[in-house]
Amino acid sequence: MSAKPVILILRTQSVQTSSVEPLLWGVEEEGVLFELREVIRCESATDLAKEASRNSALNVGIAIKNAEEIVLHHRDLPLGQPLFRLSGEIFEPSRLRRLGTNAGRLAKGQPLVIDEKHGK
Amino acid sequence: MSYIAGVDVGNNTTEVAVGEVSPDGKAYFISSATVRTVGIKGTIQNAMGVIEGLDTALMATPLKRKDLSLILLNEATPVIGDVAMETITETVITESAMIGHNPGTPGGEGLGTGITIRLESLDSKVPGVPCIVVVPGNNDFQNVVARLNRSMMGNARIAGAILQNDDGVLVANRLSMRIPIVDEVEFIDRIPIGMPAAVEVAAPGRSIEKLSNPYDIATLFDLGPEETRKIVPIARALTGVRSAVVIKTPMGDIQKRSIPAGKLVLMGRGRRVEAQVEEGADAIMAKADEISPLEEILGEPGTNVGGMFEHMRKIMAELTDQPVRSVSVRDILAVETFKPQKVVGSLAGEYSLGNAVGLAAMVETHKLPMMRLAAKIDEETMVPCCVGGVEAEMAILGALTTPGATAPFAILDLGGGSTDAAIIDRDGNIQSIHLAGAGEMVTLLIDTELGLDDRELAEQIKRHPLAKVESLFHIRHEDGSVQFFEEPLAPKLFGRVAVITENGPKPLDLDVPLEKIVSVRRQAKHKVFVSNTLRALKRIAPAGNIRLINFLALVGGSALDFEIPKMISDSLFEFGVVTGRANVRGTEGPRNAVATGLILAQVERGKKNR
Repeated sequence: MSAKPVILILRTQSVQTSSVEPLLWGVEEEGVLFELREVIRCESATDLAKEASRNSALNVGIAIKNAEEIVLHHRDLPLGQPLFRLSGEIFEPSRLRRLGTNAGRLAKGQPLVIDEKHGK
Repeated sequence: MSYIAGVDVGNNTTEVAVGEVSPDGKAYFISSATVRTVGIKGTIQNAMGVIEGLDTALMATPLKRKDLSLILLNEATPVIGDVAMETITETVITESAMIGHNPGTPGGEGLGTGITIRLESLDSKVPGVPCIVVVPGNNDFQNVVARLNRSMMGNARIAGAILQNDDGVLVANRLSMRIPIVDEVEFIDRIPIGMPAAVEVAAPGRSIEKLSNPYDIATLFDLGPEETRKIVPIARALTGVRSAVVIKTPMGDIQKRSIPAGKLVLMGRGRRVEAQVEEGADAIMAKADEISPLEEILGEPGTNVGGMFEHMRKIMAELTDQPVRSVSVRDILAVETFKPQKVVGSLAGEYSLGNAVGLAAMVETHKLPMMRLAAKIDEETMVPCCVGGVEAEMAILGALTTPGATAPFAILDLGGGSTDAAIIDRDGNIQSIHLAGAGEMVTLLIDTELGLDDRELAEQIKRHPLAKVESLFHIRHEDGSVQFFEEPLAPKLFGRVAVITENGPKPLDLDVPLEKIVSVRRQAKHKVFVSNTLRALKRIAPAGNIRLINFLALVGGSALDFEIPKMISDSLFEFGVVTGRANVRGTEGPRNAVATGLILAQVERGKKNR
């Protein structure tokens, strides 16, 4: 459990910090703190994100598993229903940035940015 | 034993009552129904709605259409209402002179003044004075940070920055000095370079203090009295925002401009007065009062208001098969309102509030062709159908079935297009009046004041209370109560203000606080219904004195609203009028008064004939 009010972000070993930077910037621009940790684990990104959200004082967790999957989770949501899940071209900067923005806004209780193409 | 049906075709709904008449001439109501009106009230198309309503009401009984011995139709009052909006002021910026907006997350804090300079020019030509750096969106924020830090280490004095991207916090967090940064400026190319400028960012939870005060702007830019007078609209436009930029350009100017909105010609009592729409709603209403009762109103061609009058006349003329000339405007309600408008020449898509006048009007003619509709229903249902009685009288008869009501008694019919009132005295004499302005006017005001440009949405906001979605599992209603959900709410609802409809919460895509929407909604209802209530009651009350009305019941669709009846009852409390929603036959609420009245009147007629 992290004592500071942070969004907890877990990444598996194979993920370079530099490739997920836009995600971190999205969180930072919203004025929310985060903590990035490396884990050596083989659970799914959803499981890891759920665990991260339980250990976050803001109840918000993100997990990046290999170059395959990113999941944004909230402590109160059922395990199988994460808020957002990206797969495919997950390191596309604008998608990462938007996910970071939404993680920050989720923590602040502000309206989320919904992608017109996928959301609504 | 016979069965008869009363049918009330209204602007929005068609209401049906079915009654059983016993051999000794007593009516027992056995069923009723409310369906949507098909077509404009008074046209042949209504027949479809009427038949649907009859079938719906009969479904609850063992009866078939052929069991009915008579269908009674209301003698609809030939009035229709319509609404229009005329904007009378707008804000125009010539050249760029200001940016004021509320980006979600500006960077830094404080006030900075200097000369505007492009980021690219920072290395080559550094002015000897403080500068405000202008950064177009094609610059990566890391690159921006590097350049700014390098310049700060050098001899440049950087006082603030204006960014096109949403990078304000990221940049501010990485600079070696703390400067105010305004971000998300849409039209960054329009910012003039080499001009004196000031950038201000307020602390979280506060709004800017310097750039919203004309004297502070005068101090910062060394302005004379004449120039200070000119920047007042800027200061006003910047009041309440979290971040702002003001740029002084030699030719730059900001004006609040009046738009000629045309005039109205009001005629009545053999007199004729002109009212300029831009003088505002109160002036128009004062002039209308002067020559009341109105006989005719003409709007200036080419204006929205003129267009509205022409449109209404045309519809009514077609409806009644009469020449357009014979249709006259009988009442108007003018309401002062405001309209958020995109500032002409803005830099970040700013809005300013323009003044506007909302107008509702009502036209009247001799008779609606209800006989034609009756013949059509007769033919379709094979049941004799006739036009049963004047609407206001039927409404009073129906409303009098409310438990606890007795003559002398007044009703207020709050509809969609018009507000009608009627009063019955001890001897059974009935007086009635129709006024312009009702539910549709409220919708128009909400639509305009919130800048929605979506009547459907405005209608939703009018009809339902609001709530704020505070977490994935709970919402807080506008009265402060909290409701929890077992299933997580959709992400698109999170953090938003939502209207609570019958089908659950529906998010509003608006950057307006809940309190503001509530206040716009309440004021719109107040402006239309409370002022019309007083106007209507003054005209029908004995000796024009509202105090002489003892009992008043509200009927019609808008009487079902969740807050309008309380507003009216509050405003009449001081006159000592017992006000409440009618409860027709003790079961129907404020609905079905006319349909019920039609059956009662028929039974009375039957008794007299015997």
